[in-house]
Amino acid sequence: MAETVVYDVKGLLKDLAALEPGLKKALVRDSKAIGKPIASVIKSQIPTTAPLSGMANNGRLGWGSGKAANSVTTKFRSGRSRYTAVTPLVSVWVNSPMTAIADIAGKGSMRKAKRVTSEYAYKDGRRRHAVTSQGRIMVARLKERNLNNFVYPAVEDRIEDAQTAIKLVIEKYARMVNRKIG
Amino acid sequence: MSVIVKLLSKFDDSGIKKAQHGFGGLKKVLGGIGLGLGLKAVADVLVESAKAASADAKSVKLMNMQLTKNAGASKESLKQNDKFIESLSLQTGILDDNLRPSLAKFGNVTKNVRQAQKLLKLSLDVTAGSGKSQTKVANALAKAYAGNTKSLIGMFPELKNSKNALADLTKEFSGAALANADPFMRFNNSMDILKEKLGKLVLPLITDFVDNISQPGGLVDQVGKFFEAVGNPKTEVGKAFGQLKESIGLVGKSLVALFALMDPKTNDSMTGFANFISLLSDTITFLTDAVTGLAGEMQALFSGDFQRFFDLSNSLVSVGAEAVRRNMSVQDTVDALNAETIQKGKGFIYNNGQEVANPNQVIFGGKPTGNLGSGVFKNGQGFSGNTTNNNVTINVQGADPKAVVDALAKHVKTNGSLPSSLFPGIKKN
Repeated sequence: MAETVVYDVKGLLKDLAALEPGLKKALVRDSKAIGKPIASVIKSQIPTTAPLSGMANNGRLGWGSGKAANSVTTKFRSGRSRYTAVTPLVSVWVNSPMTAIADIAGKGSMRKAKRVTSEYAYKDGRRRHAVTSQGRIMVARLKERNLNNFVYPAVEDRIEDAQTAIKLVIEKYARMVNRKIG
Repeated sequence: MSVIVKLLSKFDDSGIKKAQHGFGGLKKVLGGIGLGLGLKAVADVLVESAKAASADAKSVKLMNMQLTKNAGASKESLKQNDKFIESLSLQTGILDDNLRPSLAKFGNVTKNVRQAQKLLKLSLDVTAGSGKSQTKVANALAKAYAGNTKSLIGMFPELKNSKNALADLTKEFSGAALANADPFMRFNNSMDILKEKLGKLVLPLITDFVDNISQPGGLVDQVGKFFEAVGNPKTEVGKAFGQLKESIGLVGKSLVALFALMDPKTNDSMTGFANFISLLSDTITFLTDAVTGLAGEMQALFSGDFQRFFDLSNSLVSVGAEAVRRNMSVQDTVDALNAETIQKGKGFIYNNGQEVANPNQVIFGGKPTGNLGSGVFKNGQGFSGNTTNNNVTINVQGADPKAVVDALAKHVKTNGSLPSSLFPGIKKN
């Protein structure tokens, strides 16, 4: 699917705010509302229990630890990036780190970037360790149980419709501004 | 880490534009010291840098005056203060011209340069951390330092119960300015500072130059007198200028006459100009061919291919150049060019690289008129021809008219029949 890009959203938001208080908020709310059904589909696809026993812990990367494993939010971001000109305007975020890891597991080249880690602080000194095969085993197990790559396949066919719908919302509000100016 | 599903993207290149602006500044500064720009551009950058340095010097002078008067700053501390402003500006990306007035204000209140610097840093941290206007924050901090915390509490109500508002603010916002510094603004700023530094080198030269030219009897005086003389028709220079004006008026008329001379038949300047352009184009083509042929000859000579060198030297300039362009031997090129002429029905016929006929003499299509002239076919047979009342008479030298017939028959075999009206006496073998 070719990437669709909209222009000058920031200018539109500014004009909307100047036109009538609350219009800007309404645009954001309407745009996000389109992403919400997609978010709930993704939510339903995320396993409720840890897919692998090792993920069931209370540590930083435990399944559902800190952030709920099925925490999915829709975001509207009009701010610019310092590094790229094209950035997401409306997006759906899967927030839990371990859920994200399980989803993207096996999507890479499976090539070891390094044989040994960089040096890092450990207890009173510094150390480095060999890169193990833990990751490969995790990917293999997830693939066996068909518990990886669950986000995109679930919503792929809805993205294009959502895109069109959001563009219509933006056009609707742009028309309001144009009418006022005209 | 999170997985992000993009629903719609937007385009906003304002950040990138800032970077491009910064790189433009870098190019200018490098050009100013003589890297990669032409002389005019270098001069422009030097003038621009000198302007920036002049504005900078003015702002420094003002701040130093205030710090000396109000905070009793010594020469040493002023020097150190300059460095402080420069490094703060580089770190935070805020223009030094915007920092100096605030520092002067804090110097007024604190009567101490170091304390003023601390307050300035705090004001930048608070501005970056709270998003409030830097001028307002600076004013409120200056008042708070003097004991009036009303406007500061107005901005930050949580300070109401604070025993030491400034200390609490420092604790809350310390390091915010550095953390939130826009990298592109910092980059632009560093380019501006470089420009100012370059300008500082140029500024004394410009000042000296201006002093020099504006003194009595200097350049401004002399040139001013010259222009006055030019405007006065009674002076020698004024008279000469009047004559120059008349000459310029004549130039336009002379050009029209010149171009008309180039077409003696109609005496029309437009046709004359067209002839001139055509001649120019032919000359350029000839020169290009000559250079190409020469390059081919040199290449053949250096690679030890003496046969090709002799062939190219003995051939016509256009044929030699074509042989080089096609990377073919002269003989093959001649064959190819002759075949193309027969294919097109009009053109040159060459024999061993030498032109043996002009375009009017070799026309295999259309109706030839007048004398067809004479020439030699590729097989060495000479010919001459004439047309009268739609009849074409071709006399082939060497008493072998069959040679002509053979050549034409070969053409007919490969390209179809010839127009019968053109060669009524010739029949296909």
